[in-house]
Formats: sequence, C-alpha cells, structure tokens
Amino acid sequence: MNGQIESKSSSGLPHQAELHYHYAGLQYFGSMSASIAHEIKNALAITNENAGLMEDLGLMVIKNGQTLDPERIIRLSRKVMEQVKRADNIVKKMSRFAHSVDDPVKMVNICEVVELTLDLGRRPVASYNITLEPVLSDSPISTFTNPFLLMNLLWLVIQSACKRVNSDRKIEVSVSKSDKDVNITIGKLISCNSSCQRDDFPQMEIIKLADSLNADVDDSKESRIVITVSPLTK
Amino acid sequence: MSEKILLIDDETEFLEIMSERMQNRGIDVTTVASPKEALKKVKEESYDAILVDLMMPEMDGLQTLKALKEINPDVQIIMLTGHATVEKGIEAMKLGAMDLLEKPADLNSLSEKIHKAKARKMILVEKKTEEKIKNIISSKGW
Repeated sequence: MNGQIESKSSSGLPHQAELHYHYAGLQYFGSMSASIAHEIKNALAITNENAGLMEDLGLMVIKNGQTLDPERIIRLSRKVMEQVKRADNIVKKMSRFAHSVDDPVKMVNICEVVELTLDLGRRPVASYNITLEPVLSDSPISTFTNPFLLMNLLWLVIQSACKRVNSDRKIEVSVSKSDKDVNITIGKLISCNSSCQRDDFPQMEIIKLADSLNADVDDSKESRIVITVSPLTK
Repeated sequence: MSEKILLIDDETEFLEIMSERMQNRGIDVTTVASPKEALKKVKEESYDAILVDLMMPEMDGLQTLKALKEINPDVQIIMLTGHATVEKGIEAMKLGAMDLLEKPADLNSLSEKIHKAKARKMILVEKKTEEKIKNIISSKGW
C-alpha cells in the first residue's frame, strides 16, 4: 500500500496539506521571533559600541594622558540607557506575543492585537520598502477571539497586500466595530482590476485561518481588504 | 597605510559610534545608511573592505552583496548580522563574502578581518597588474 500519497487526516485533507497549515502558524511565530532577535541584537550592538567607546576614552587617558570630557561620558551613558529602554520595549512586545497563545479564546482588544501585529511586522515589510500605518481608536474595540490566530491571519493578509501597494508604499490598517463583529481594514491598496494580479488570494492558509476564527476575508471592495471577525464562543 | 572601509547599516547610531571607534584605531571609514547609496559610493571609490548589515530596508544584505560584487568582483565584503543562520552564512559565502560576523561584534577581531581583507585585495590588485603587464608585453611582441 502506498501510504505516503493516499493517507488522509481526520479532516479529510492529505496529511501533507494538514501539516502545511499547522506549520504556517509556527512559521509566523518563527519569522516574528527572528525579527525580534534581530532588533534586540541591534540594540545590543549599539550598547556594546558605546561601552567600547567609553573604554577607548578611558584607555586614551591612561596611555596618552589625554583629558576626559565628563559631558562626553554623560552623553555616552545616556545612549546606553536609551538602547536598554529600546531593548526593554522589544522584550515587552515579545512577551505579549508569546502570551498570545495562552488561551484558545479570550476577550481581546482588537486595536491592541493589530498594533502588536504591525509593530512586529514593521521590519520584515521594510525590506520591501513598505511602511505599515495603524489608524486606531484610543477606546478599545473588543471581542472574543484567538489573538495568535488573528495576528497570523492579519499578517498573511498584509503579506498579500504588499503586492498591491500604491506608489507611496504605505499600508493603512484600521479597526471598526459593526454590530457584534469587528472589521479590520487593510487599506490604501491599488484596486484589483485587470492590471493587478490577484494572485491566488485568498490562499488556503488564509481561508483555513479565517474559518477557525469565524472570520471572513473580503477583497471585493476597491483598494482595501476587510477582515470581519465574529466573536467565538468561549 | 590605514585601511579604507565602507560601512553599510540602517542603524544610524551604530554607524556613528562604530566609525568613531574605528577612526580612533586609524581606519578610514565612510558610512552609509542605505544599500542604494552604498552602490553609488562603490562606483565612485575603491575600498579595502565593505561591511554590510545582513538585514536592511530597501534591499537585504545578500542582495546588496550581489550588487556590490557585480560592480566590482574583487571587493572584499564582511557581512554583519543580528541573526545569523547557518544557511544565510553559507549563502553569503557562496555569493563571495569574505567573512560573516555576528552582532555585537568584537572590534578587535573585526579590525583583524579588515586587515586581512586589505591584504587579500592587495594580492588581487598585484595579480591583475601582473596580468596587464604580461598582456602588454605579449601584444607588443617584445
């Protein structure tokens, strides 16, 4: 029996396909963790060089008898403190991201989920020269959902949206409430007409994630994609 | 004679502080915060070594490495990275990087690598000059 090709999971999908969808979540977790690691390393590198420069200055005093400008030392110390603060902020975000898998369903402020997703995704999309702009209200817009899967869904949609950016290369993401549902709008895109390759949007990963989240992904509107998140039962 | 290097990183604060420390060690440093700017510089100037951050906006480090090598195949490139994976390291070496260093880097070992890069570049220049002379001699039929 050729089990490798024919075998199917309990969902009816071939095991390979099922594995692929589970892997998508891990891939998201992995790529964001790598991006966070890079940010922390950058902060550490600057801290290291500032400390190194202080050492250099100290050695110059000992070896060459040069005078040391105390203002310079204060400026360098402040730069170290700034980088410690920067690294601390990154670690706080990393911690929030790590805790997004704590509960399968919980009441979450979607504005915060969107803000964190954009914060984490800022560097990866910057490599395509694209900036992410959150347009979020100060008052919370909450619903029962799975925060990690929602972040993963939003990230996949943003990645697809990167192929439809305007000449200003900005993607705007906003959140609004509509009855019981919450809409996340990914806007400022070029409208999908004949000149725009729709690709195979929405991809199977997006459909599967949206299904799990009781969400809908609509790209029929001009120049935007809307994710409608309906509440999950706890 | 001091080494002449080009440092490419999108972290401007890193550029500032690193160039000051290198200058204190007698290295002639030019800094740029964008790969596109770096490509322009390399067309105009010759450097003993180029230090490239692996992850940058506009163009990532590997793309930058490729583009720099296209302009000048003899250029000695040292990659600096915040998140080195074995795969990326191998890819960089295959594309012609001289070395790969993880951030935060030790300035003494970095200075050593810059020194090696300069020595390598000088060997390549000498070889090319030798070839040129050979070509001239053979074409003139002396």
